[in-house]
Amino acid sequence: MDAVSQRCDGTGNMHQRLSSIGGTFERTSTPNNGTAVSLTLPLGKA
Amino acid sequence: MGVAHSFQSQSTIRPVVWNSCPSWTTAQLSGLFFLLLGTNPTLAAEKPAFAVEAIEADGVKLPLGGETTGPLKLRSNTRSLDITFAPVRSASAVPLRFRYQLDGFDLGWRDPIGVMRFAVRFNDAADNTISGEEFDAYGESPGWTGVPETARFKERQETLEVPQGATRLQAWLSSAGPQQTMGVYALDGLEVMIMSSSPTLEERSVGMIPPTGSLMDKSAGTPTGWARHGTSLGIAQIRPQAGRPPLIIMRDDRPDAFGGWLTRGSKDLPLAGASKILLKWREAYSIGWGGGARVSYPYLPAGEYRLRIQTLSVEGLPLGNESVMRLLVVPPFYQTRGFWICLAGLVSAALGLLVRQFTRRRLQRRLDVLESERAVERERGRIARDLHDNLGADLTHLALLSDLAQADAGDVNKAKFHFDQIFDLAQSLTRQVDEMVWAVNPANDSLKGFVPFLSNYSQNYLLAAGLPCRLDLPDSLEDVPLSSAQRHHLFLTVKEALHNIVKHAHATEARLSVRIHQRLLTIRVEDNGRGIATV
Repeated sequence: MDAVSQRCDGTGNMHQRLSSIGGTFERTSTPNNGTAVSLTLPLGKA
Repeated sequence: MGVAHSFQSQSTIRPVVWNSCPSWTTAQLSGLFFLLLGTNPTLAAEKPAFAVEAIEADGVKLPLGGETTGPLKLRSNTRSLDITFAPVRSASAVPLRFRYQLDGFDLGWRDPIGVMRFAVRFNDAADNTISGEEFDAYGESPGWTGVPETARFKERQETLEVPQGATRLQAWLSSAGPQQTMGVYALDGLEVMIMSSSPTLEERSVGMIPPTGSLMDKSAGTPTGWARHGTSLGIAQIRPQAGRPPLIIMRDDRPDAFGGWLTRGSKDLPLAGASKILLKWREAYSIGWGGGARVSYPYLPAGEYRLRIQTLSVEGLPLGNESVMRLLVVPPFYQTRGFWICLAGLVSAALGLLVRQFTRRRLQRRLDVLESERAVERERGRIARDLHDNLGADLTHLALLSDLAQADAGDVNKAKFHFDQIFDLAQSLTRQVDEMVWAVNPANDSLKGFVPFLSNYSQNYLLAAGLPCRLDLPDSLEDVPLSSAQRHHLFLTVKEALHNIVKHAHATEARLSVRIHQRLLTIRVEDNGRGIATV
């Protein structure tokens, strides 16, 4: 569960997208056990 | 001047006959003795003979500290100021007069007004007074020199109606208005012109002061037909005049006594048959106050004052010393310069703040406008970039494929392959345009519209790749606004993640979950594929 981000397959791009709207991007992956990407964004008021 | 009133109740008048001298007090005798000698003590008062004994502001006594403690302070809302003057016992062996002036309020010297009085009475045959007329004298006559012989005299004349039954006219002089009155009054050339009502009777003029009498060359002399009265007989005097009847004098040098002259009943002037008289006389005087006194000042405006007290001789001449007391009426706070400066400062500060706030708000509004303009600008740039990045390459590809299809038009199989490719690409382009339009459309600018779109898209995309997709979504979604840029970037990120799963993960299942916890939106895309090697 420790391999994180910054690959040439578009992770940097995805990071950039989220930070441009004030959010964060995170990817965790373990070999042979799948990958998970997580996008978080603080929301405004309703 | 000249208020007529009855003399019936004047009990203070005690006619005294000079010659028969019945039972005089020693005081009266010594006064006369002093007169006969004709000497005058030199009045050299080294210190003021009068001082302020008390000052009351609205009835409350103020502490008198003297000069060393600075000015006496008064509140500006003081309604009345009462000053009590008292003689300084040790100052002078002989009684003196005083006058005072409040610099800053009074325009000249004042004294507690003492009055001396010259009066005439109309009497009947039994010597009862029918009516009378009084002529008050106070202050100082113009041209007063301190000595009656050299003073300028005021010419006076009065026309009087003779009342019914009056047969005699009596002259009467008194220094008692009231007893504390001190000073000198001199009467000269008193003359009566009797005007007849019947044409047969002659009009005639009669002098009322005879040149004859006893001791007529002395102050203590008595003209024929005149007599002294009062508590101090020395007050009534005469001054001989060469070739003329003497001056009739009142010299009151005692604050506790009064005196005067009158013409005796037996020598009155016959008035029978007269309808009017014309009274003529000349007078010179300096009349003031000896002894204690209490005077009042009304409301004094804020400011600095000096209460000056001057000691005078009986004749009204200043004796060369003066005492001064400083008074300060403290202005109320709203009349002070400091208050107005403070107020002006506060007002200008408030104005400054207001102007600042106003300009700041205007600037802020302007900034907001610029900001939103910039945001629109950025959004336009982003759309342009997306069009170029996403559609540009595909459209170029499309053009290339069309070229190839045309080149291979002869070979049906090759051409069909190209056309299939063109069809797929066109379909992909349509979808991309749809997505872009969706993201830009303001109707979809909330979480409520975004999450179903995202899940729907993910499901279709993964299913098309033959992967089952599990969705984990909140039961209800708030209507939280989501900007076009936020939707755009979230969507493209998820799209890219899905693309990676399909292309690289070799997964058999994928899962999309959306959570909102404490106003934080979390979107997770997971797969069960082979994972990525650590860097």
